[in-house]
Amino acid sequence: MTKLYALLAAGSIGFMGYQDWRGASMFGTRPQGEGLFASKSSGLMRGPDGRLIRTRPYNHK
Amino acid sequence: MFAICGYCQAMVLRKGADLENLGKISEIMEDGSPIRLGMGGKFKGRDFQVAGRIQLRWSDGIWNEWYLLYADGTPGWLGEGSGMFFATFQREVPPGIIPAFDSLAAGQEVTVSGKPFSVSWKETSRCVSGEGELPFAVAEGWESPSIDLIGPDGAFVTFDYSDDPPSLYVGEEVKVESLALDASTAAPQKARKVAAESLSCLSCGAPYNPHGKDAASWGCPTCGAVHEVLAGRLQKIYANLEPPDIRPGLELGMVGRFEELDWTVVGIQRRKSTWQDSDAAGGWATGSDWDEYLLWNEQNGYRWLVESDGHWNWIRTVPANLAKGQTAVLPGAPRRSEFKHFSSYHAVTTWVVGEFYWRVKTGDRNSVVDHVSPPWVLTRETDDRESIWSAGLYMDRAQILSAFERGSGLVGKGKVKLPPPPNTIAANQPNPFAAQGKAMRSLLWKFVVAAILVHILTTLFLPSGVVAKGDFLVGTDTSAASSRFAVGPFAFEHDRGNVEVILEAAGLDNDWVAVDAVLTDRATGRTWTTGKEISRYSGYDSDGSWTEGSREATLRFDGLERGEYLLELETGRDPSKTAPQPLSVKVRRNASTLSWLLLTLLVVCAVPVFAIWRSMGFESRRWAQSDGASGDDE
Repeated sequence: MTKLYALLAAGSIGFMGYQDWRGASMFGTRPQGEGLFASKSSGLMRGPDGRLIRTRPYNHK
Repeated sequence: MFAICGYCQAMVLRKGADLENLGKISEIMEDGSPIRLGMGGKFKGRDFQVAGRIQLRWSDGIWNEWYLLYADGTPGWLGEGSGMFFATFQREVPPGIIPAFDSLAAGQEVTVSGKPFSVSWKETSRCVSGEGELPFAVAEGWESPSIDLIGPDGAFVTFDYSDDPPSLYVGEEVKVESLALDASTAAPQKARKVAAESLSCLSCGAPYNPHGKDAASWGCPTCGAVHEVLAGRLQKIYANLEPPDIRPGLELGMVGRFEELDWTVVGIQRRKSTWQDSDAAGGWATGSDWDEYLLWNEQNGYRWLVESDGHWNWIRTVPANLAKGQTAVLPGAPRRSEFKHFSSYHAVTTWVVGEFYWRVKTGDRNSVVDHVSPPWVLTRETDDRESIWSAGLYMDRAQILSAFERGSGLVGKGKVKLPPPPNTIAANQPNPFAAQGKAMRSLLWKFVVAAILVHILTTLFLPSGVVAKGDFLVGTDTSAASSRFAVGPFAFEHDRGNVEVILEAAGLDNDWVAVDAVLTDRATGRTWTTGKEISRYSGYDSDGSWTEGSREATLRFDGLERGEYLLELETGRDPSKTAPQPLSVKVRRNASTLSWLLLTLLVVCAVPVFAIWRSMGFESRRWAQSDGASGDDE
């Protein structure tokens, strides 16, 4: 169990080091059409005239 | 000089050149002692010879005081009782130093030479026999009131009240095998006859096969009659006991192999815990039963095997004296252990069968205090005469089964029946998760430090910095000039990495700006699409001032490769706003991110936290059964 953990922890640190070294961000936007987490659209809403619109009013009561 | 003839038992006192005949004394009772008159030996490098012995009887049996003469002429004593040996030397003390006999009780704390001692035994013994040479005259019936005390690390003291003023003897417990006894110089032993009728139950005639020669009582396994035993002979019946409904797991005569020796079950007593409870009948509540097996080995005397709730302990008496917070080194223990008080209660014997080295009685309520340092338990049991310390080593069911299968030659035959495995946690049960928890705890910090170091080093050497920026005025119409902007093109000069786009809408208040962003690799046509709304609102209400949102937002594009990129922004605004809104855009390459570090720390910590939690949970369940008292007294 302890050896398995040591292996897992060392592997995780190695993977983290690799991701850090290649400048990868876990939550960054991916290129369109590339992979499960690829970006599809900005996610912002547009009005009938094509303008970006705000659909969420401020939350303060 | 006083001497007893080994053949006619005549007692002779020599005063100068005169000899005085003091009559005769009874023959020595056969007690199975490994020591014999005339034997040579060694204690702490000093040669001695066994010169004489006084055999004394106390309420629970027989014990010996062997008189030793060391090579340098120093006299000494070797007390022998219940399979234990204590080497002592007389020390001169001023009169009045030793407390009065009646002022001390079993278990009482006494300071001797600045060290804490406790009274382990208080008794007035009577001489029943003697042999060899002694420094003073004794006779049959001669009384010897004495008090034994045990101190730290096996220190042993006796107050002898047969002298006036009382004498002080100081010494320690010794192992008989450490005395290097030499039988070649020992006096020949007389052959003794034992009457056949004294080896049968005085009630039903069932045979009595004595084991330990210092047996003091025997419970007949056939009829339940409990006999007084003296010198291996049944004397009289003093109790009759009904057998219990549930029989003990082990039986008399079974042989177990422990410490590479064969140990025979010679006695079994069933006991139960009891404690004062005003709500219980008679003011005493009772707990569960447990069985104590007395085991005997010819060379090593007695040990105990205690089974409670399916948990087993291998127990021997020890000359311990554990004060609060004290540590002790137990026989067989690899190191000094700190013992913690676990519980105080009373124990009552409810049934006995077989042979015991004291006059075993049912119904007596003894005070018991348990201290634990798994896998050890150190127990002090006190009655009105003595206070005995014993050390128990936890054993699991498989060890006991194996020991009795090997000892009885029944390996794999399924004939040794033991109670089912426990479903509770014993006071001194080793924590099966402790070693893993400890190892994990040690590894955890190393891996946490390693993860942080790796993260710092990799991000430190990753080239970063602003690669493009632009300042714009966002209008309210949809014209390209006021709502669409481009940053770059800029070069990304690394094989792989990310860029972070920092948007700042200076002066934004009670307003919003929506930003739709597209990053394009101009060579390959790969695009990244994302967006964010920058909004900040503020005001006052009955609770005071408030703000919501931020004038800054960050976009992150991941998976970039070496190439030339263009960032295009499309903005949107509240049409009711008329003044242009400044928007500052900065593109920074290879921005550091904590996300992988955090994920790694989660993975690195999860397993040890689980292991530590499991280990702590075991301890928590163990200590939930403790009575919580912090002292070592009942």
